[in-house]
Amino acid sequence: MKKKLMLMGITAALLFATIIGGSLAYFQANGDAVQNQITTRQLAIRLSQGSEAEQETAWEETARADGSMVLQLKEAVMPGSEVSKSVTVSNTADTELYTRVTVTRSWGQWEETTEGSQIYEFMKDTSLDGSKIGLLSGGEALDALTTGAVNGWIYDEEYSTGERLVFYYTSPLAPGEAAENLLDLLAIDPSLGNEYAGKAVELTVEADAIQMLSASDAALSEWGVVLHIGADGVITGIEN
Amino acid sequence: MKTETKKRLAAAAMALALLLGSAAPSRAAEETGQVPEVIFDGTQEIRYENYDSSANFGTKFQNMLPSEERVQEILLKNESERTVDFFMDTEILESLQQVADDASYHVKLEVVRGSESTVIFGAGAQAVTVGGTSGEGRAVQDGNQGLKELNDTLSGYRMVTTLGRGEEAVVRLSITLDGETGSNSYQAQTGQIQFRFQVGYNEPEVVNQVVNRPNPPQVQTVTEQRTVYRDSVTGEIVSPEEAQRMMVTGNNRTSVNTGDQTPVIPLMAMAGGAALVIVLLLIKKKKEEKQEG
Repeated sequence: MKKKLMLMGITAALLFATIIGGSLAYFQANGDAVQNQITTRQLAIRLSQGSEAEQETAWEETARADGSMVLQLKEAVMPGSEVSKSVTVSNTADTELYTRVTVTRSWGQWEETTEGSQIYEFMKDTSLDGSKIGLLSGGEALDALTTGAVNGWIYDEEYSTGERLVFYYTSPLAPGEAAENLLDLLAIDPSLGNEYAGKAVELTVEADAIQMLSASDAALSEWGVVLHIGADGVITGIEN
Repeated sequence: MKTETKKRLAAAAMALALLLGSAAPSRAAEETGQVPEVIFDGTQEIRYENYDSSANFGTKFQNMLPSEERVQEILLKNESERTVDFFMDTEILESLQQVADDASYHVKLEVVRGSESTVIFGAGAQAVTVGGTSGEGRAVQDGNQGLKELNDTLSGYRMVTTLGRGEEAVVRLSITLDGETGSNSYQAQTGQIQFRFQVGYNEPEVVNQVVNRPNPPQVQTVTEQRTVYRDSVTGEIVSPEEAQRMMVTGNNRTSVNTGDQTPVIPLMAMAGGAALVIVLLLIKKKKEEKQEG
């Protein structure tokens, strides 16, 4: 009987302690820490220039660190002569983009850096008219395009000068995709005066791109133009 | 087995049952959904489902582009038997630029239950601009912290919703890298957001009512009562631990106090009382045995 009483006493004490403890508790469950990675896409393009045969024969080509390309004819040109040259742009990263190419055409001649060095440098002659260097695609002069597109390229007459020509590729380029050739032929004006005698040609080609997403805003911000884009994503016109 | 031994074992079993009685039963896993799920099933561990790994809880902020709004949804589920509060701690571990992140980000955090949406971080229905070096509507004015500016307001456990038994809610975190300030240097960058979740509720309040003999002692449980704590400055609901800390240290929040806040002195006093009863009973028994001897 006494043992029973003792056990009941212990049980009662535990019961009391448990009830009071329970009334004070706030239950709390925790989860492990988890993370979300934030990453951004990349825009990258590459200029491509013609076939190996073209490069070996007529042109001296230099790729600049900024991605632009300098193409210089190795020999002086004759009035009315034609030299094949193709230029295009490819999307080398992971983001759909629109691209723009600016071609600057100049006259000049090759001169030795120092007499007898046999090292020659192209010296520009800015007094000569760059528009005498015709750029053609499919037989059409690119700087005469006022409406429509050739090979998907449209000409921005307002932002262009006699020396500097600006073109937009109208279709967005998917990752890995290349645009159609911007030009395929260089045609020298047949009515050159004596001042062009012994002159060679230099083309500087620069390309840049904007993301396809929110392209209208990006074009206004980066290129300073208003793009008119159709529902299919193709640029239908530009406004400066 | 002797009757006395049986009684002793029964009493010991009763005491053991009382000690273990507060453990909640576990429940079976539910079917997964389309977004990462945070599930409270009544146990002490919050369960995650429908995710790849703890380092890739959600993938909605990957491959972002300037001006693109990305929304990461996280489903909160209460599979327990009671009404509980869900808390969430959002911390930017890495912004997109480690040094001088001068881009702006537009951020909004809301909780959606059915057709009802509650904005936890945002300017009304609009996102708040963080980061950047200037501009109206910026959350913080000391700039160049980028997304890490969010830590000033979202870091630390914030109550996101209260869910009844079987209820669900969706947390929607929206982040947009600003198109103007997210320049070329933001290409191919990486950052990291960390989420931590916590669930809490008040245990039912129990009143001990002992009835004199001849009726046996009995315990009566009254209706469950919950206490909700609000920050007197911001009006936001905070966890009981955070409230306790704020009452002591003021209104500056730091990380949540995850320790047990139960006052131990009364419990120790009761344990001491129980020990005293045992000792007295033992002394009394010894005396009686001597007298009998």
